Amino acid sequence: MSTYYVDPAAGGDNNGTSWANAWTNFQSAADTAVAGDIVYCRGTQTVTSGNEIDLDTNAGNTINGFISFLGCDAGGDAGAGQFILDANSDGANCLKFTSTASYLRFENFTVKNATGDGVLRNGSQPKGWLVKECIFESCGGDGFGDYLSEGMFIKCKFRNNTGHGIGNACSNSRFWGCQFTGNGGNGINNANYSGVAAMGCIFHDNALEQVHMAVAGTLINCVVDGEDDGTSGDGIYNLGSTNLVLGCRITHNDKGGEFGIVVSSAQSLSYEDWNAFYDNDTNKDTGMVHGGNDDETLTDDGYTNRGTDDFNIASGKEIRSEAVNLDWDA
Amino acid sequence: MVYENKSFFRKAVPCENGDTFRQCNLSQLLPHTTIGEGVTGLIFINCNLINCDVPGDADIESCNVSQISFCSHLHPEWDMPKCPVECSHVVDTDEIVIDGQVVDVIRHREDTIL
Repeated sequence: MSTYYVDPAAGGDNNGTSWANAWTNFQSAADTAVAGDIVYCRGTQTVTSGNEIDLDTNAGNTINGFISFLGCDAGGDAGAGQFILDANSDGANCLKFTSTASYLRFENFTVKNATGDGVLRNGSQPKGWLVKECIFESCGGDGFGDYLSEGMFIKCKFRNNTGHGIGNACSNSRFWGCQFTGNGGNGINNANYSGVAAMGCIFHDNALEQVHMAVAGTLINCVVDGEDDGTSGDGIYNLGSTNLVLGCRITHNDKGGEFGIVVSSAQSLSYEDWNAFYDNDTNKDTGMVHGGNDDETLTDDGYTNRGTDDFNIASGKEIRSEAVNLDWDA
Repeated sequence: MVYENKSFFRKAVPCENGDTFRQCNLSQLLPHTTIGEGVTGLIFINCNLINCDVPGDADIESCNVSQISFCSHLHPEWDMPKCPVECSHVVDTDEIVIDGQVVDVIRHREDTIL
């Protein structure tokens, strides 16, 4: 197992062996590190058009482990700061990956300002990524494009992208404690792949649907909250008989004609009994669940302060589900 | 006023002199959409300003300031002016030929970075 370093501002030998001699281009790390290696990264790298970073060479594996890319603060402490890949309104993407790039681990990375997707899949799906406390923001396409199978996103933020927060979240991917906010498309767009699960996530203020599900998708203990001015689409769209939504607060999806939950096939589970609904659709008598019971289940949304994006349940409020206390911020 | 973590995607942006926008999505569907006309002292930090034209004295820090011509064929979910079939976003075509007859044309389109 080897350890490497990336720092775009380093002025040494550019061989990745220490902070002083760190690689100045993350591409060198992507091309060199193999299963079990750790790469510490600090600072900001500008990704220019034609020089997008390709993850197409090496992979982790189930024997030697992940290839780990860990963001650090200026002092080199892992997890204390973000390593930033900034396409600076020039690069089409910050990262591009191919089917080779399985079992990669990213922690404390920020991907931003691409003209297209922040992270782009270029070919068939790899699998097994672990992505923790990363931010995908302000990109012209999706924050994270088509994904890969069997991956895990922990406490990540997908925000303010012109496209979706995450594009087709591929089969059996998991999201825990993530935020999908302010995107021009869906928070999660998952029209095609099965087995996506989101637990303790916040979906808020995405211009289309907060969550677009596919078969066998699961939402547990999530906040699904529409745009502040009531212009977004449905809260959860395309639920089928294999989906499960439990302990969620589904609120303010109130454009008019939009629903808290839209189901695509007959349901045996009564979503109204297992989730909390408030202010979905301007006609509160018909807006909760398309094809289901139409009564609200709360007298107010119960959030501590929706205006400041504090979706924790306020003291004394009726609890039919718990919002996750996301106390992490970059 | 300070706006933080708000989305003004495809909407008019409320602006008054000296407003600050932090981690907001102000991106618009059409290139060179004027934001804050006649307003001074605006500050944009870590925002998505795609297709925005902000006042010349605005302070912009770490924002996406791309101008992108979006193709309506690629984005049917957005309420935007419809592109013609042979729009400028077509980058390639494939003809489907059966028995010497072209029965269909597949047009490959891309959004255009201006």
